[in-house]
Amino acid sequence: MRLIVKFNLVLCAVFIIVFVIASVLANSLLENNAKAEIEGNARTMIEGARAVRTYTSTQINPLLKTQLTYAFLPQSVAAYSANEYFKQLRKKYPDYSYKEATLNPTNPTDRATDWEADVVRLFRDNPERPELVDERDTPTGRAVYIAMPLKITNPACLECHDTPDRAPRTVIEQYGSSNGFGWKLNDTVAAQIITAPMRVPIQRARHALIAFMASLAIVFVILIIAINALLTLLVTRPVKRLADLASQVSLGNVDAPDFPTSGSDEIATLAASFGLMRKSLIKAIKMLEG
Amino acid sequence: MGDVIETGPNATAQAQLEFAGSAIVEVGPSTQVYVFSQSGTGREIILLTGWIKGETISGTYRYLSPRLSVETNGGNVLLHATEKSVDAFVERGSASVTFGSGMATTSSTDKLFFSNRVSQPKFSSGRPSADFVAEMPICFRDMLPSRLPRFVGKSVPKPERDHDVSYTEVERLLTLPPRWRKGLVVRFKSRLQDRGFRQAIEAHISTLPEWKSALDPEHQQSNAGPGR
Repeated sequence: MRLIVKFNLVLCAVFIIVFVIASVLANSLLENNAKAEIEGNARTMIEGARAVRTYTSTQINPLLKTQLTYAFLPQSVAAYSANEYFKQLRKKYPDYSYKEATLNPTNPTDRATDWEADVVRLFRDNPERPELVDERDTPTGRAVYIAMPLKITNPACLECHDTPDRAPRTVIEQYGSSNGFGWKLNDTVAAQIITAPMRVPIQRARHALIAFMASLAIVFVILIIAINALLTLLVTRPVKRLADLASQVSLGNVDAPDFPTSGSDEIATLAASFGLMRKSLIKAIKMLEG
Repeated sequence: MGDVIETGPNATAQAQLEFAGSAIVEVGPSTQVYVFSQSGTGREIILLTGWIKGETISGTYRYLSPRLSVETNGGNVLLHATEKSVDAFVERGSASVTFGSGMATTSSTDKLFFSNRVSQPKFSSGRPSADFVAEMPICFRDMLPSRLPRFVGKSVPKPERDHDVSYTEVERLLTLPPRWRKGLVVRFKSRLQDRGFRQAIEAHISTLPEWKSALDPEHQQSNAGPGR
């Protein structure tokens, strides 16, 4: 078996092993990174929703307070603003969904489902807990979610959520007087939950993995070509020429041309040694003939 | 004697009266308002027709109309008057509302909107009627911002004489209930030199008896002469 073939076989075996190990490690790393990125995005989105809520309750609501006497304006409600903000975000991030899951909401669409209610209760039981990140199975596949508690820290919120008597008439006309009341200051009443399907981080990781492994394969192919070229140019070709010269000398062709030597690498040393051996051999042949 | 403020029919034709530190009164389009009396702590403002919104900060403000009057010491009140109806809504705070010359009713959660219409029973409710809200000038839905600081240090143009009033223009004012007509004859007597004005007064003399002396001063003087 030729030397270059042996080299290539070993290099290919090493590459396959490295490729498999790298793909396993990279897949896990990239998947974790993709999840972390999604969590980071979700945190930013929730903080954005909180900022919009605060802006609405401190600046928009007071401006619309008088108008609420005449007609219910959802624009004055912090939860509505947060949902509208997220509607706009979804145009760019369609995989994410947002809900302000509330145990006792004014608007029935905000009512927490079973698992969401558990999340709200978890925050109620652990007031210091800032967030919850978890995964859950959904009809469309596994999903990752991040939840943050919503506490009533602004006393102005209680104007609509304390007792029906205190709430604007237009709010009662819109939603009735049986839901969304009895809230207390500093109570955790809801959780902001952002959900993204797991296929999102997995797809992202897969795309990144494919790109990474393709790059690795390209690098390896370039490496193999370079090694083969160098091996042919610097080792196999000079060795073959030296072997041909040795064959000619061994057949008594003392006029065979010298092997040109240059440099100080192992092939040059071998050629120099061969030249010395050839001279000694010619000298010995001439002595025997003389 | 009080000023009469009239706005044009355009939707943006509005005026704002600011009584520094005590009240802001917004006058809607197609509205005639008569500032009937002013004292140190209060005002009486008569709505002849159209829309007004009064935000009272301090003092006693009476927003009057022939069919319905509202008195408040610190509430927001809206009034809408037409020839055949007057509606009032107590937007914020409390107010005392009187239908015509009847008994006053204090506003409460269930009595914030009051309506007095021709050939309909007077009524009150906790919510303004849909018609009232729909017809209300849109800016009345908001708090009235004070504009007085904008004019501090600026020279305000003085009103210019435009034209002499016709009878039609002041008819609502002249035909107010007698208790609010005080001083009007003296104010507009000079207009009797105008033939049209005089003829209109003469045509309505049965409802404007206080003008008799102004129409025929010599006759009145002889009737009121010595021995009588």
